[in-house]
Amino acid sequence: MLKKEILDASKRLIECLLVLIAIPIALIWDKVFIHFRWEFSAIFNAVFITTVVVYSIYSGATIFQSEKKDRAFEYLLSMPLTRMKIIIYKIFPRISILALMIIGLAIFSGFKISLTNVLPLIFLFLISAFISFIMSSVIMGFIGVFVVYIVFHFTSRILAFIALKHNILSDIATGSLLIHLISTFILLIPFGIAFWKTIKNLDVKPLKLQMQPYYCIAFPSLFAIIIFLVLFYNDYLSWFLTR
Amino acid sequence: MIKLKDLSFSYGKLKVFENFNLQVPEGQVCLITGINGVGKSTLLRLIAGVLKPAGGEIIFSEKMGDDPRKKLGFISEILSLYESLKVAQAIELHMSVYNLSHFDDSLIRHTKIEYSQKIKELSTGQKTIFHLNLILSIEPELFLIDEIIHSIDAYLRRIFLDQLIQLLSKRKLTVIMVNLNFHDIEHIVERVILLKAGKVAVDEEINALKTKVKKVISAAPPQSPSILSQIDYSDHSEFFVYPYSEKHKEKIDGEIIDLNLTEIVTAFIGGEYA
Repeated sequence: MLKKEILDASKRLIECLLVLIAIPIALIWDKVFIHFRWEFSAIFNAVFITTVVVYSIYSGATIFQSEKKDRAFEYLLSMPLTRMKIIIYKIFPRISILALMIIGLAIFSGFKISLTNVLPLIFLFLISAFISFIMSSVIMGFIGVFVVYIVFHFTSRILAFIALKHNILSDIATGSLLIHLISTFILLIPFGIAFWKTIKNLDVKPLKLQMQPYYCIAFPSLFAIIIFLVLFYNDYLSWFLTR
Repeated sequence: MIKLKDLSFSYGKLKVFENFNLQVPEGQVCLITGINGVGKSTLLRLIAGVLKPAGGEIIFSEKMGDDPRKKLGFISEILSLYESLKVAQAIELHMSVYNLSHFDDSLIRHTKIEYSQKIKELSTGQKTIFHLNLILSIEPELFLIDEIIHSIDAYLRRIFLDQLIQLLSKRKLTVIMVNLNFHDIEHIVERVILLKAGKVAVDEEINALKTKVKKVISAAPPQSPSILSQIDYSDHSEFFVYPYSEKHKEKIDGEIIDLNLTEIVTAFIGGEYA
């Protein structure tokens, strides 16, 4: 099973590496049309980071793609595998490849490996995996992740604003990491619980009939976070503009 | 032995089973039938564990071990397999999940399946035989077969049934199958269960059923036993009656004809549509 999932994750990687075609295209575009004299390293870094971001979302969004495409949920669920094992087999190869890509990013593009930098990539991977059930297609998955990431971004900003306003944070570096962690968990926990509850009770009924944990846990939590953001947004904006 | 106790299941608001009970002893070949949409395939999926019941329980014999799925073979009508995998990869996956050290591929070789072929490139018949080969490799104690054997050609169907008969002669295998065409399987079925509105409407040993369901050819309907269904012709009618016994013989004015399994089940199902 693990071998199959490694193969699947590698296929997704190869598909994502197609983004690298943007490097020669950008070089030709610059040379022929716009003459900005872009340096190869600058283009390479930007495209490589984009590839890693795309992989983190794509590999998460396609976590059950082979079961959906091949109608293999019935076969998967009839095998003597616990739901926890299925999740581990699916997540482990994908997160390992993501880790290798991050190491590659650090070696070739000077990406600084720190929790603050890596956390958003892990967030993107996990959130796209968690919402993969409710998204009918990979494109919808990307849109969903984009929406949740915007919420994540503003949650971090507004939490930082509240912390600074009330002098809760003494050290900016530690504080920033802490706020990133809190924002990550605030969003990941309800979606993670909904995902796990769905997996635990998953059967071959149409997926739309099995989304109750999302309707009861994930969406109300997201809605509550959005209300929180709306309530503090004006204060945050005026603080941000006067800074 | 497998026991379904107070089983309930629904698709959203559509109730399929409520407090459904059934017991199949070890080594029995059991046929489940009924009109389309009555829940035959759903019942197999519940037993296979790919559908979760809303209530009740499914009790497997101790022989099935801690995880019954290890000794349970299930071929559904959708032939669920990882279609993008090659045959060799699918075998490897199956062996790793079921912890098998050896795989007897004789059945695959009989049907011109290449190891390098993708599963989606196989015909329905080849896929069925391939799936059967995967199942045989785990030496199942319980075998669930959905309405698939009649969508494959005569040659592959014979291979499938020969394998099943061989398996039944070797071990005390319990088989539960769902079918609408019974010609090929009549000689192996021991018990027939007819489902109606989420309940067991008829549950009989096949020989008992054959003595109880008869066709009466006469101009007028018999007073007893009950008529399941009838076919009218210009000068006479055919009445399918149940439960028939010898005491009815004298009261019936007409010819009494024995039926085969296909005709019996058709009579029951015809009655459902009447």
